[in-house]
Amino acid sequence: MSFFEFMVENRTEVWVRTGEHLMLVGIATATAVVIGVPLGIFLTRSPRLRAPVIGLTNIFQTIPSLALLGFILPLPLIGGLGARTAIVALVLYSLLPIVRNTFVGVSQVDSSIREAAKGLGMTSMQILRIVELPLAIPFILAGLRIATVVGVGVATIAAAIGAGGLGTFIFRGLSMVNTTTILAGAVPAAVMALVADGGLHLLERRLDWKSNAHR
Amino acid sequence: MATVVEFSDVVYSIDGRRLVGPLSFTAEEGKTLVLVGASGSGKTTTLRLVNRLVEPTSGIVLVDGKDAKDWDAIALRRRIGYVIQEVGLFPHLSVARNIGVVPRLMGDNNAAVGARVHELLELVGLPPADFSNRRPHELSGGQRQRVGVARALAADPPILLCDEPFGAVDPFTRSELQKEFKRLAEGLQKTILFVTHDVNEAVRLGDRIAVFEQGEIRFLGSMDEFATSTNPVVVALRESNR
Repeated sequence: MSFFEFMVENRTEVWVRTGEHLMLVGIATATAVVIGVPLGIFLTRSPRLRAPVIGLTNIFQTIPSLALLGFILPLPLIGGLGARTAIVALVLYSLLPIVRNTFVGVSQVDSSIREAAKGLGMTSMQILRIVELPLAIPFILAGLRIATVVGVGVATIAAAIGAGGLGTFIFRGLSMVNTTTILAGAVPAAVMALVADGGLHLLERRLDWKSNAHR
Repeated sequence: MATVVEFSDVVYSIDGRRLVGPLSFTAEEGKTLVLVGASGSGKTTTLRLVNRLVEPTSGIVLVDGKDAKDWDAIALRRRIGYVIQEVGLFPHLSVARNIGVVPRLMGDNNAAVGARVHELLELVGLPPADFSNRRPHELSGGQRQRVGVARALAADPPILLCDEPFGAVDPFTRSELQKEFKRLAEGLQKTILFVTHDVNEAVRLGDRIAVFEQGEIRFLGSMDEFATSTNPVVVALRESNR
């Protein structure tokens, strides 16, 4: 059976798996943003913690994804078979680019700009909201883009612990030594990664203050 | 004449190393006090002590008769305009937004902010129609400085701190800006502390002059006293300026 015949015949499952995959990556990336952006901002205020925290998020990235799932699996509350474990692992993976880019984005704001803002009588929250965050947006979005693209790839492994997603086809194909079935998972995942990359890149350009789209 | 800023025995040290002081001087209402000296002589730190960007290690800084420490730092800074050499305009905001940022934070409505921005742009010689919507990177160095001055004046602060505001512009623009600044200062009756390392500029803009060396004031007096003083530090400065 050709790849296209397979896709047409199994279109219902392809859509379901794609949906599951989107959910896994979407929930994980959103969670990573909710944790990572404030953490990155916090690190700019507490430079001493920068090395340990960035180091820790770095370690998560170096653990092979399959092994990371294995480590989380037996943990109480967050572990267990299914999507929850996969999402926790994906969050840990996504954290590094988001935390690091938020930190870099806020830190790169010229010190004379921060000094002027302070001298004008802005509170540190106002400096963050009016000056630092808008100037850091391109960096934060670039981090989000990396996190999303990596997340789409890593999420295929989640099928190994019964979390569903496009990896289901890949693992099934591997066990049956059937390339067509593997492709049924791999091709939609690749398309998803490309679309996410392109879409976030567009958003990045739209929100970059250097473009004249908004004043 | 009222004293607006007063330093008494102010010392500022880091790790036991004294950077500034002991300093005792006053800045009088509506007058320009120029702080002149080589780089590293403590002029900038002295300014930053006024708006509490740094806190004195010992001694008291009085602003409007009240210890700077007792001022709410944010309220204090909104009473004090601050212009720095690098200008520090917000690159992602238009000229109008840059100038209006503090009035907006203080709760003025859009119409009031717009009118104020318009007025300030005219005051600093930038036609509002041409400049309101530009971004800082679309301005020349001299124009950026004008916007910086307009932004510092936005909340109508009675005190203005200027840290080498014209240090980074070409000599022609510089003398132009000095002339206009002088006119502005006389018209607005602000109490100004103006830091420069350029004696010419100091003489042009100041009502009184304080000469800094190694964190201390070596001479403090009117421009006439500066011109006739036999204080060796002053003589050396005048010589260097010939």
